[in-house]
Amino acid sequence: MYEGEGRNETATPLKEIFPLADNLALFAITVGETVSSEIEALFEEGDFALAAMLDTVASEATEIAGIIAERRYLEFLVSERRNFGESTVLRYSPGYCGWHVSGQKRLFEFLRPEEVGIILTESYLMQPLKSISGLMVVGRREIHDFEMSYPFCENCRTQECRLRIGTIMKR
Amino acid sequence: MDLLKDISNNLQRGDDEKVAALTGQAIAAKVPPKQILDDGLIAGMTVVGMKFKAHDIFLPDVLLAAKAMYAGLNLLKPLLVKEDIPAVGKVVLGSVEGDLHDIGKNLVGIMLKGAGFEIIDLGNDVPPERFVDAAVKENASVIGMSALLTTTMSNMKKVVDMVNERGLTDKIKTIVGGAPVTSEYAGEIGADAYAFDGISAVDRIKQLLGLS
Repeated sequence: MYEGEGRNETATPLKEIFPLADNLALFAITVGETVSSEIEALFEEGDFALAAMLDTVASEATEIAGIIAERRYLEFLVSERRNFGESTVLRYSPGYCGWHVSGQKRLFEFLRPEEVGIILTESYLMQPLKSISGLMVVGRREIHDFEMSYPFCENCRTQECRLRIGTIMKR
Repeated sequence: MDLLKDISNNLQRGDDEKVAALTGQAIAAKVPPKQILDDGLIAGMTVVGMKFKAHDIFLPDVLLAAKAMYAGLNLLKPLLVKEDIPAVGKVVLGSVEGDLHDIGKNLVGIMLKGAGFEIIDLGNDVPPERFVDAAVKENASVIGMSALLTTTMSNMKKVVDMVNERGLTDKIKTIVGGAPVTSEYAGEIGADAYAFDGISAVDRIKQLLGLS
């Protein structure tokens, strides 16, 4: 599934990380279409500040929903009486870290996020816009601590991976 | 003129109702529309941009000012059209193919309009040829592209290459931005400029067009 349409970068962190995982789970989450319509309406009405703030809140809510899903997944594994004392979970998504966005196609074929109202466009993007999808990787925290030496890291300004990895390292 | 200064000051405070009322007063007082635009509205937005760059104010303050700008601009627009006063420049904007994120692109459009530019917003998921075709059709001087994903950034290069291949580099300049995009990347793909945010997009585009 990870290979998707064969358009990933040759070397990616996830390619090295997921074989080391204890457990893997695909996920797709949305906060729905209503908030996106409201943002669009506010922009059209000229309420730019409110629109931008609501957009930020909606993006953050989607991320928090992802964090909650991670926790629930770990709780589920623990409830299955498996030993995950030293393990942690981190999300990876098509479109980031060398995993080509076309990877969404196979993910959708398998997971069927349409059932929760998420559809995939021809450009492999999700609608509603405030949706996330990808792979949750459970394993020792060290497996996620990759070097930023991949060619695509040079062109990435956000380097949000460092923040996310930093968070699990502190846990 | 005090009236224009009042427009500028109230715009900076984000008071859209006062800006609309004062713009109406200026129109009634037969102040030339271009002067109201330049010395009232754009002058106010210029100060807002400077304050934002100096970190004296935050994005919501800028957007409240932009709303006030639009309140005045909506009253002026019919007069500017009637007097055939051209925009400062015309910019085609869009999020590149494969990218649905458009908040940043929208903010750039708002800031550019606030600076007196005409914006042709193509929306999101815009194929390369649509950018170039629209720029040619609309006689735009600038194509602005936004991308939020590292995997869609490469589509910016396709647009830049297409501008080159069609021999349009003298007529059309390209500018890129978006969360993962850097000025180094802009240079690497041959774009004419990179902008970190909406305010810097206004500065860069003015430089590209020799307006500053």
